[in-house]
Amino acid sequence: MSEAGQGYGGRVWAELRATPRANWGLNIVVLLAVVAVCADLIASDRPYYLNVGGERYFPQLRATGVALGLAEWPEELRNADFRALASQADAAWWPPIPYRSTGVDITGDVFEPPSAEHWLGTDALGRDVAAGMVHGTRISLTIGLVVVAIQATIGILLGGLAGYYGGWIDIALSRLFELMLGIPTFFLIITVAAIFPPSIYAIMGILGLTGWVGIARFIRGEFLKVRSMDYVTAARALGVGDARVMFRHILPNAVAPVLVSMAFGVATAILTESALSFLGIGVPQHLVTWGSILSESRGSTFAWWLAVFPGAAIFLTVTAYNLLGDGLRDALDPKLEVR
Amino acid sequence: MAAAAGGAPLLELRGLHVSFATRAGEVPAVRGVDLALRAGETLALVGESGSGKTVCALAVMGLVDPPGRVVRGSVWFDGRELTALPARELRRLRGRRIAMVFQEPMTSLNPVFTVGDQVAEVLRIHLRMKAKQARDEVIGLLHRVGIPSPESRVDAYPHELSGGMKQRVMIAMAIACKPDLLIADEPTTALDVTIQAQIMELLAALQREMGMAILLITHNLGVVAHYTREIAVMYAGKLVERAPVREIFARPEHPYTRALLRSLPRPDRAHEPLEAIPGTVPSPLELPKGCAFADRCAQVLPRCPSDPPRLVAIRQDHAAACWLHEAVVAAGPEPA
Repeated sequence: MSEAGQGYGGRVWAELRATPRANWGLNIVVLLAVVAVCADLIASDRPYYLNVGGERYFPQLRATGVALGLAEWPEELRNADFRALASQADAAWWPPIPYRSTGVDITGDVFEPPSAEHWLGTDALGRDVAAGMVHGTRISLTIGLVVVAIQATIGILLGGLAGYYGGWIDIALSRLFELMLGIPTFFLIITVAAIFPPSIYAIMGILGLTGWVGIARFIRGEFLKVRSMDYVTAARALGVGDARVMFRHILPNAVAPVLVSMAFGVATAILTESALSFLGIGVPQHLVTWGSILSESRGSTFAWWLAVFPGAAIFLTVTAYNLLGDGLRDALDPKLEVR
Repeated sequence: MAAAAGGAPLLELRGLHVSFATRAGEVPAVRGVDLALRAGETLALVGESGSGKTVCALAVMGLVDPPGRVVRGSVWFDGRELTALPARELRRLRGRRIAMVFQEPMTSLNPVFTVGDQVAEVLRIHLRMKAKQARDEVIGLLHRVGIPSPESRVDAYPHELSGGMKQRVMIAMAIACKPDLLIADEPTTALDVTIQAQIMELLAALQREMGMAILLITHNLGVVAHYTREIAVMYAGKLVERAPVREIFARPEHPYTRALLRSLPRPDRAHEPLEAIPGTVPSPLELPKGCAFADRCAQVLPRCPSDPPRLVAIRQDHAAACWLHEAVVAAGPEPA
């Protein structure tokens, strides 16, 4: 109880920042998030700015507008080849990686090793690996976060119900948890992938719908503990309803350890998606993810850049989330003081 | 909020039995308690830890959780039977017409919300106040319970307040909707002696101001003496004596009450050692068939361990459950 005026959240944040490992994890996670959000600004085959004969264009900005349904392409740019256009333009400002992740170019630069033109080389179809990595970040993080969001929603709801009401509700739900634990998730996904066409949403759905048991059990235990706290009895004595007691009074006090397992959950989901894409049963063929780049290296072992860079990215991301989760665990423990 | 008319009590417990189901069997915590409290008055329920005082209070609030349950008897509040009331109706009474202050202010406030939020929640739930209006009301309440500079304390987190301040916040929450009945469960036990008196004075002042009835639960006879007119003494889940304060102190009729009074420190006997009651409270799993105090009682009679005495009026307003009294003998043992 050192600093007055600073809530629990503030203390946790300070503690995270003060721990070097956790701080690094956090930095990398933030960096990855920035890359994911700005993927189109970092790697794109549309210039930021184009000046053709005095006519000024902002193709990248307009592309974003079109994607959001806010703008339309002008007639002359509708099917433009910006690279050809830029060669006759008065001025053209390109993104740092002037390629798109799915830009197939089988005429020339196939299996190009890393160079000034293609920083991280190209794959069998001449696609720029660097661009694929940048856009793959978006897919990996989306999968990680959406999966954990699904898991947390189901886990908190069912775990909370079991822990709060106890009795036969708890018994029934606990048996359900055990049943779910018995399902081998990976093989279920392979089965589903064999039946349905590959889709990023199907992967998120399956991972989300099968992986919530850990969170549910955690929440159940915490609810059992917090439920018997005096302030919960006090809230009930004031006429607060069950749902409000559960989600307003108990949950904030019970959610801390779950944040830790959510951080680990993001890492696990990203790893699983990579593994599935590596096996070629994950995301659809036309999407480029870290796992799909990695899988290309299977048949072309000479192209080391196809294995090293996505492998390193997966390693870095999973490590970052694990460091963050680890740091959260320490920071959320009020018994350990900030140094 | 029509207070109970004329002579009818605001709160009445009739033959209340509460048990807890454990692996070792049914553990009776409250074994037939009859109590009545009129609107605007104070009743002190006195007893040792584990005598069933708090369980009585929780039964009134409808907060006895499984494995505990009200086995028999009833709780009447303002003409309604609470044990039979649907959960929704009961919730509407709680915090609005019946409020409770707990023993442990340190742990009775939620650590993740500001105290203002927590007091405001009562107002928003029961009186449907909007945030801004509730905040103003909360500041007024905090001021009323004697918290200095309530305009800034309203945004304080519980860990930034002292125990006494927290208990004042708890009281502010309890009186927010001007309840008819306030149950104070050992409100001063966890506090410093100097703060104890302040909190009791505050409760008394609020009672005068708002006319609410107070059920004061305590193990400290010294504390209650000034703040209540009537005392009920509880032992092992039963009432053993019930009388006005003056009667209890002047002419205690149950050996347990006498022993309790002798164990109080008194300024006129400062140099004598305090008397302790020999033995311990019997385990609720192994209660004797008769009077539960029999094995600690200095005046035990042959029939005490086998026959349970009834709580019978010995004089006007003074009831005791002890075979030493003719009226109790005349009433005969309680049926099993």
